[in-house]
Amino acid sequence: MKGAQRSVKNTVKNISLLVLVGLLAILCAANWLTGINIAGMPADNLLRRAYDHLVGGAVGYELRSSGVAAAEPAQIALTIEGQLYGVQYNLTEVEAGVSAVRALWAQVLADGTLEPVEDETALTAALQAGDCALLRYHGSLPLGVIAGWMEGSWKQEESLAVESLVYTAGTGQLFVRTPDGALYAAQAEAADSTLQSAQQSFHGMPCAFAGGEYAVYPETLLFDNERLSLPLLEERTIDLLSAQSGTGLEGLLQAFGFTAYSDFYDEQNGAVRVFVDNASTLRVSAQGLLQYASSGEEGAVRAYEEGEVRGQSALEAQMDSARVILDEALRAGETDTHAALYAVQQSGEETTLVFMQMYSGVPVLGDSDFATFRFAEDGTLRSATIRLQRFAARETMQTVLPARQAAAGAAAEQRSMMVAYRAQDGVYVPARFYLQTGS
Amino acid sequence: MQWDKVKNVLIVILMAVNVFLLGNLGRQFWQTRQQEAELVGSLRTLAQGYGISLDADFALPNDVVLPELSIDRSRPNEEAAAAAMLGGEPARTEQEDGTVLFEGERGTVEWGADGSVSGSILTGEAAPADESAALHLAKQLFSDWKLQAEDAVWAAEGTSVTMTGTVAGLPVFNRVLTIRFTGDGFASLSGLWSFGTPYTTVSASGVACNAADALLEFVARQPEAQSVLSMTAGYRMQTDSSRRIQLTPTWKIVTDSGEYLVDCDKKTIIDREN
Repeated sequence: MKGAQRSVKNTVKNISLLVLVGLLAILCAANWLTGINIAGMPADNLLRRAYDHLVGGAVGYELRSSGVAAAEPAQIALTIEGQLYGVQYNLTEVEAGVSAVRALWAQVLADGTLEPVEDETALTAALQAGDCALLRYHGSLPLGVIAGWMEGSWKQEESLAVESLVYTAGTGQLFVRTPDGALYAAQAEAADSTLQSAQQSFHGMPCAFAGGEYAVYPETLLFDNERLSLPLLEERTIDLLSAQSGTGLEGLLQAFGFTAYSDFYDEQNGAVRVFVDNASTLRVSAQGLLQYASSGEEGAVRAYEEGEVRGQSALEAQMDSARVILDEALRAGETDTHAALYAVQQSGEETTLVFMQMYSGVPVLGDSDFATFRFAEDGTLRSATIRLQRFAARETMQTVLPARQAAAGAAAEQRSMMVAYRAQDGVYVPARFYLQTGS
Repeated sequence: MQWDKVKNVLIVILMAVNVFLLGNLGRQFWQTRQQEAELVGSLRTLAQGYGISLDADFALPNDVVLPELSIDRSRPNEEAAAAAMLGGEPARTEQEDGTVLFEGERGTVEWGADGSVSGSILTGEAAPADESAALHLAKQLFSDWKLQAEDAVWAAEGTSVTMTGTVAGLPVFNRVLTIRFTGDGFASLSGLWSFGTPYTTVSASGVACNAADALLEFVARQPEAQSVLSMTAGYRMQTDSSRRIQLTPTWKIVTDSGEYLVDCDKKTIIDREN
């Protein structure tokens, strides 16, 4: 009897111990959870997602590895029923083209090993071997970044700067061209159904690859009966400090980490306003020049917290940060232009992002870069310069020299071409320019 | 020492630690409730100072961190909806600013790059007799036209019916479609709409939507309203300089003089809805 009682008591104690240990674990977790900032966790954190479900945060959205594209392609082409079609220099058409071919490029840019191609005839032959797709960007951008924008996942040599990408379905290859003219190739494959789906939704003008006929690169697009007529642009005055642009200026200040109540002083009889805080300085010129500099201390603009992300993710966060600031700046200036990333320079512990400004999909070139952002490795924005300009289109249109004629007249070192606006006697005139290898 | 006694000691220690942890949680919970009550009290006093009262039923919503979301424009969905509205294969004209005009045998529909939609469509239906009939007809037409919303909320007023819904589980305050039955067999469609799933990036940080901050900024800048009835966190649709559609975290503040949108990040009053 006594033994049985002892056994029951022992069982009760064992169960009590187990319950108390379980309760201890739950209470420890609850105490720990109340002490951490779950809402500030990255969106891909499971705890954060569970928290959002519980407290009524945003749910059911996609998480992409790369952000909104900081640049749209200058040209897109795709073979449809044996004929190459392309779009170029038109924001609306390029935007529609990207949405049509994104799934195709996501598969092509899954990953692979790039090998240098010494003989250009390999590309020329591949272009004639079947269906092809082309993406060409202004400037040169890291391959991994372009892959991210297209929802691909390229990891090998992801920082290799490229300006054009060609997928040749006939040979199952991806060719990429670097700014110094070097050509690389990798095995790549896209499902037939994906290619067909892209071909069904892509609309463009008939065109052809230059192939080996001209001095320009074989992948250069030559449009049939090309007639690219663009309006001349006049520069209009801009006044960022006027009372009418108050809301825009407030947004701009916010983007750089300042508020409407930040300390400031005027320079040059009020033409320049300098906002200051403990960590940074922002000079806002009424005429549109913005110059930001920070000491890197607490309070400066950050693309991410130190140690939070590395490598490609850090670069993507920096691009996103710069893109958002530029967007605010363009809104503040009511410029009717947009910005496109065209160079990424990484040296040591710093990354410099260079943007060009575009008017309806056509670059507007000035004496200096439109915008540059310099980020430190810890994610701090060290400096930024933006030159805002406001344009108005004249009724006069200018027809740009067709690419086929320009290609026929290209000299040996003139291997690539672009259409852009350049200032000429106070007016911005569109023209086709040759780009020399490595320029 | 006997195991029996060891277990007793362990049970006592565990109970003591658990009571301490439970007490700590309770203290934090109580403090939070106290702070919330004090905050609402302070907000009522401050709002009164600006001549605006907080309604007796007003409850300060929880602070929330929302990601900025992007939505890709879906031309195939726009085309499919236009084809369903207009019948057959409507003629498609794309304008320089990204607006796409569809013209068919049953009318015209225009989709803007910013998600705006407007159109005049021959439905062949007689004008609905009352709000209930208008609501029924609108639901039928939107279903036929493949314009569906998650958690759809319908409102009818005369022969006009509006539909809103949620995106990513939250309301998008300016994403509204309105259909107006004109009585001659036509219906006019207008509003702002989007298709597909929104997205953000892994590394993107969220925007802190602090209810008290937004409310204070609002009462300081809004002299028209007399009383604040409620406020809700959600999104508003807007386009960036590259004409990409974005969902920006926004508060909707309902007052006796109308509804107002306040940007979560900038705390600026964006728009007055009615």
